[in-house]
Amino acid sequence: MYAFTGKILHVNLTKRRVWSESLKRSLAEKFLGARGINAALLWRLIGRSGIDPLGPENVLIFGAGALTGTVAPSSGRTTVTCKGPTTNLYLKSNMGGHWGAELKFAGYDHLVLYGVSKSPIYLWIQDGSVEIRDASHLWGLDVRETDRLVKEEVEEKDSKVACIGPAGENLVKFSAIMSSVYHAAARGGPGAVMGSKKVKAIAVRGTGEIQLWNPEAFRELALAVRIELAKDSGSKSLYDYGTSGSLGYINSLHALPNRNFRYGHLENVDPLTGQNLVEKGYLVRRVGCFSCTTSCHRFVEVKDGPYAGTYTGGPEYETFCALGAQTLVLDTEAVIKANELCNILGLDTISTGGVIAWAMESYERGVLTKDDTDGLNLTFGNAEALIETVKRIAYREGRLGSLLAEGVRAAAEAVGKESWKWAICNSKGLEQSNVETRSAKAYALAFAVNPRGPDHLHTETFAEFGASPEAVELIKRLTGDEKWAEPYYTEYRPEIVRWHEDCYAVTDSLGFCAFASTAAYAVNPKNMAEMFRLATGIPMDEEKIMLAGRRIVTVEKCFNVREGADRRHDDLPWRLMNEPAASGPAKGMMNSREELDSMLDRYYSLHGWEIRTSWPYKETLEMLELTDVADELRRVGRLPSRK
Amino acid sequence: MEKPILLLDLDLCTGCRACMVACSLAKEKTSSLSLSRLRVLKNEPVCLAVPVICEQCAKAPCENACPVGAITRNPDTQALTVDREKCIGCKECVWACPFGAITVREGLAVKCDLCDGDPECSKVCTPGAIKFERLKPFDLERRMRSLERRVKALTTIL
Repeated sequence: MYAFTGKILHVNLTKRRVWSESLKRSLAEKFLGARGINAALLWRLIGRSGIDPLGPENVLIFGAGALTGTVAPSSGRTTVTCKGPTTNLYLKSNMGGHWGAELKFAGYDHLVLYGVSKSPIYLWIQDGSVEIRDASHLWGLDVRETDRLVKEEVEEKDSKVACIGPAGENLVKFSAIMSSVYHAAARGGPGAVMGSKKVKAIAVRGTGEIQLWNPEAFRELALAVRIELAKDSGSKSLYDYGTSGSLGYINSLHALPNRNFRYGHLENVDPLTGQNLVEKGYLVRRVGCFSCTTSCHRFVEVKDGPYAGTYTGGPEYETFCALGAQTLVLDTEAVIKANELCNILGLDTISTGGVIAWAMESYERGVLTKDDTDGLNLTFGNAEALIETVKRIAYREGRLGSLLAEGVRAAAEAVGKESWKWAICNSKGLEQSNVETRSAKAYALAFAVNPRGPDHLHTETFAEFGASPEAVELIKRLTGDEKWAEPYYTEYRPEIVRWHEDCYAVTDSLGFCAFASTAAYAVNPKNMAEMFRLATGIPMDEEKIMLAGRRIVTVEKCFNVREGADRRHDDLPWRLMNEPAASGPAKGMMNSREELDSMLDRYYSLHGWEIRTSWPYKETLEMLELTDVADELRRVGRLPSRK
Repeated sequence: MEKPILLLDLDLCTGCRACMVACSLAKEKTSSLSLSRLRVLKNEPVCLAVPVICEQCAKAPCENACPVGAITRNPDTQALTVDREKCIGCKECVWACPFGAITVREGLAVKCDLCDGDPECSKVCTPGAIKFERLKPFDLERRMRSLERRVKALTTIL
C-alpha cells in the first residue's frame, strides 16, 4: 500500500499476545485513516453497549494520519480512540508531536490495545518488532522522568514516547496521554483508559519509509500547499504568538469565559496572552509538530521569582483560560507552573481548570467548606490553592482531590445543593472548553452535537467570527452571503457546522492539524483529496472525501446511539442555557433549549437523522455504505426508517 | 564570488523535521527520516532541536579521508559530492566528518549535494532556520555564534 504502512498492530495485554493484521485498502477508501479508521475499528471491536470504559473490554486505539510522515504541511497528528471514561460514550482525542510519524516509520499505521495487564508494562516498538516490557519501576513517575528513563532503557535517543503520568495511573477521569513530553491527547481522559490497562508508556522508533504512489506530483502539490498555508494570516499569528495570542481579541468581544463562565471580560488580560509571553521573555522557543509549517506550540521558562526553574510546553489559549481566567489567577508565572504540573502529571488542562473553577465557586457559595477542601482556602485568584489542587487531583489526595478527580459532573452529583447549575458540562458529562457559546451560535450547535462532549475539537467553526479575509470568504461560500460571518446569528449555523464537521473529520483522518484547515484555510477538502490521491493511489476527489468525512462523523454518532444516547444528550451546560452573558456587545445573550432546538432540527435534517431521536435513518446509513452499522442498530431497536 | 551555502539558525528551528522528509522525497522519491541527508537532533524535555547538515567545508576532512577520491567538489555549486561508482564503502569519511553529516546507505556513503544548487530542505523550512544564501561578511559573526550554540546544545543531547 502507498502512504500507509498497511499494517495494524494488535496487543492483547491480558494474554500478552502480539499480532499484526494487514490494513485493507477498502478500509482506507471508506474511512481515510487515523480518526476514521479508529472509529470503524472501535465500532467493531467493542461490539456492544454498556461495557466499562476502565475495564478489560475497552480498547485503546492509536492511529497515525494517512499522510502523517510525509512532507504535507502540518500533517503529523495522531488520533487516540476508545470508549470515554468521563462520558461513557465515544471518545476520540488527538495529539500533535512526532509519535504518529515514528509509528509509521516503525511499520504500523494503527495500534490497538486490548484487555488489562496484570502488572505495569511499557511497549517498545522498533522497526516491526514489539516487546512488552516490565514498567513496575516506572509506575508513579511523572511524564518527564518516564520519557527520559524509557529512552535510556531502549537505548534509542531518537525514539518517541507516549506515556501517562500519575493522573492516568490513578484513573483520574480527565487524564492525558502525553507524547514528546508536552503533546497531549487529553480531552475525555484517554490517559485513564491507558492507566486501567496498566500501560505506562509506548516507545516507538522507525527507520522505515513511507512509499508514495506518485512521489513527484505529491511533492509538487504538498510544497505548493505549504507555501499557501505559511502565507495565511491565521498561520502567521499562530507562529508569532501561539494560540494564546487571541486572548486579547476574544476579551475585547467580552467572550473570554472567566470565573466559571459567569463573566466574559477581564480588566487586565495581558498576563494571560501570547504577546506577554514574548514581551516578558518567557518564550524560549517556538515548537513544531511533525512537518508543520505553523509551529504554534510554545516552550516557556520561568527564570526567577517563586516559580523559578519551571519549564514546560504551553500555555495554550485553552490553558490560559482554564487555569488562569476561570480561576482568576491572572499571574503568568503561576499559570505556567500549573501548566507544567498538568503536563508532567498527565492532566487535561481544560478539565482541570474546569473542575477547579467549579470548586472555587462552590467554595465561594459555601457549598464546599474548608472541611471539604482539607483546609485549603479555595478562593478565586488564589494561585497557591490552584497549584496545590492540581497536585491533589493527580494523586487523588484527600477529600478535595478524590472529589475533583471524578470530573465536574460526578463532583456536582456527590456534593448536591444545586451545584450542577454551575458545573460547566452538558448531558454527556464532559467539561466544556473555553468558548463563550452564548454569543457564538455555530460553536453552540457544534458543542451540543459533539459526540464526546462540548468542545471545539470535533467541529471548529472559527470562521463564523469572520476574523480573517479567508474566514469571510469561506462563510460566503457556505451560505451565499458574507453577512452570515457574524457569530450572533442562528441562521445558517447548521449548514456551517455540517461543512466543518466533514472537513474536520477529513483533516483528522489524514493527520492534518485543524489549524491548517479550519482556522487557517490553505488546506482544504479539494487539496486534501488530491494529496490523498497522489499519496495513496486511491481515486479521490473533493466530493468523495467530504462524504467519507460524513461517514466518519456518522459512525461516531452511531457509537453513541448504540450506547443509548439520543437528542437529549445534544445540549449545553445549564448555566449557558439559563444565565445570560454578563457584559459587552453580547450582553444578555444566552443559549436556550428553544434556540438549540431550532438549529438541531435543521442540523439533523441535513444529516438525514430522525428529528425526534437524532438517530440516523436506515436510508442514510445505506447511502453511506454503513449497512453493517445499520444491521446492528436495527438489532438493538434504534434504527428509524423514513418509510 | 562565494557560492550560496546552507545557513543554519538554531534559534529558529522548531524541530518539525519537514526538512528530513523533504530531503528523502527529493533524493530518494520516498518519505523517510533515515534516508535524509540531514538530521535534526532533539532534546525533547526542553524542546531543543539541532539540525545537523553538511557544512561543505573548504578544507574538507571527508574529501581528505577518502582513499579512492570518490568525494569531489562540484565546481558549479561548491558542494562536496560522492561518486557512488568510485565509493568503496570504507566509511572513512563518516568517521572523519566532525559533524556526523555523512551516512551510509546500501554500504556506500551518502551526503548532501545541495540538490545541485536548489536545496529542498531550505524550501520547506517555513521558520527560516535553514536558508540557502551567500555568506555575507557580517554573517560570519552570527554563524560563529550559531555554531557555538549548536555545539553547546549538542552536548545536552548527546
